[in-house]
Order: sequence, then C-alpha cells, then structure tokens
Amino acid sequence: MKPLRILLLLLACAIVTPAFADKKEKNSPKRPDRKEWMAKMKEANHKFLAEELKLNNAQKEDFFAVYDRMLAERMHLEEQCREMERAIHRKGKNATEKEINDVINEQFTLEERLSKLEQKYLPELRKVLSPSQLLRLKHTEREWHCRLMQQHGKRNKAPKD
Amino acid sequence: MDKGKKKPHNEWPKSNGMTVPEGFFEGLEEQVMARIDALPAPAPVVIPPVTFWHRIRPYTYLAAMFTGIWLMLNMFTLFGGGAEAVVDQHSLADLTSSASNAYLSDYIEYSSATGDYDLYNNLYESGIDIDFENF
Repeated sequence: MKPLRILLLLLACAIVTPAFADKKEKNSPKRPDRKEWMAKMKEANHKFLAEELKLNNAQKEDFFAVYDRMLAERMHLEEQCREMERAIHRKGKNATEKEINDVINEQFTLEERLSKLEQKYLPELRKVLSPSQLLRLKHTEREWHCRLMQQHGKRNKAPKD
Repeated sequence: MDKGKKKPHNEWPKSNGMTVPEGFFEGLEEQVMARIDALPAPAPVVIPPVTFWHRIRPYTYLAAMFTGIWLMLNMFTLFGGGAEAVVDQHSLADLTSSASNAYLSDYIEYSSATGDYDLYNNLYESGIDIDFENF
C-alpha cells in the first residue's frame, strides 16, 4: 500500500535523524574541563601582559599577585550580575517586581562597582608597575579582549564540515 | 436610406433547409426504448466498504505533513550548526569579521556589554579549540 510505504519512510527518517544528530555531537571536539581551560587562559593572559608591559621577573610575581586578585573580583561581580539576569529569565512572568528591580540595580551599578574595584587596587598596582607600564595597562587589557573576540571570529569564519 | 435598393434578406429562401424524413418522429420513443432494452444489463455498482484506513487517512496525511516539516527543521538545525549558536555569536561575529582592531578597541572601551566574564564565558561556551601555545 502506497501510503503505508510513505509512513514507513517517514518513520525511518524520524529514527535516523536523531541518531545522526547524536553522531555529529559525538564527533564534535569535546569541551575541555572549565577549570583547566580557565587556567590555560590565565597563563596565556599572563604571558601576553608580561610581554606587552615588558615586565621583569621581579615585577611579574608582584604584579600578577595583585592583578589576579583584581581580575577574580571583577569577574565575580560580572558573574553575579549575569546569574541574576539568568535567574530572572528562568522565572519569566513569575518574577516579582522586587526581584526585577534588584537585577536592574545590579545591572546599572555594575560599572560603578567595577570602577571602585579598580580604584581600590590602583595603589597596589602603582607599587609594582612604573607609571609608563601602568599607563599602558588599560590599553593592553583592551588588546587582550580584542584577541579573545578574534578567537570568536575565527570560529565563525571557519568552514563548516 | 435608399428605399429603391433591394434588401438582401428579401432574397433569402423562406425555408431554413432543415427537413426530416416523413414520419421520422412517429414511434421514435418506442424505438429508442426497444434499443435500450436490447442492451445487456450493466454490472451492479459495488461500493467498497469503508475500512479503518479510509477513516484515519486524512489524519494520517496531516500527521505526515507535520512530521515532514519537523524533520525538515531538524535537518536545517543539524546542518546549519544550530540556531542558538548562530544567535549567540551573531554580534561578536559581526564585530570580529568586519571591524579593525582599532574599532574593536573603541567598542570594548565604550561598551559596558563586554566584560572579562562575558568574553571568557562566551569563548568557553562556544567550544572553540584554542591554540594556547600561539595565542
């Protein structure tokens, strides 16, 4: 019976498609462990900053001790804000007015808190970096961000298999 | 109008020229009926029974159509790398594919949307295989 053949064909497609999707998922490169990945990224960041700021060996140790603490706090503040945003999205219409206002406050004060954080670390940074190195730090951080974004670009330009 | 001129329809024959043989319509009905009666009887019309398949057929076709659409969308997602991924990386891809370093630098400087956490997180989530040695 012709319709029966069509039905069987559709059924076969329905079975094969998810299997094919699974195969592709399995073939895609496995995502590394987050902590391991972040450690490698931190190492690359240190290498980049040390080269760009021309840090000597003595400076490296002192600078990264301060810088890593500052970066960790900076990322913690940003993560906290994103987590709150995600939580509100998950709740959707069930989110209360207070919760929404809390997220808005978090979003709109984030820059201010980040700025205060940097000001808090500025005296310590002054101690370990020369004025010319400190002057270059912000620019170098932007350069680093550019590199990270270019990695995104590479992925999007990469030919699809 | 010239009244003296002959009108063409006056020259046409009075009869239309259509004639039938004498007594043609007499007994015509009886003749036709006699011929019909002489024909062999038609086979009785057999109405096929309504089966279960006949009853569910429209719904099956409808289901097949929707399954087809679903499969088609699945195939697009499968070969297109996933809609979410596309949406996720759209803005960053636009920036990195067309802008110069100077523009990116300005963008990062003046935009509050891209912090360390966002950059690291997006990069990790996108599953990009990074060559850390030559980063």
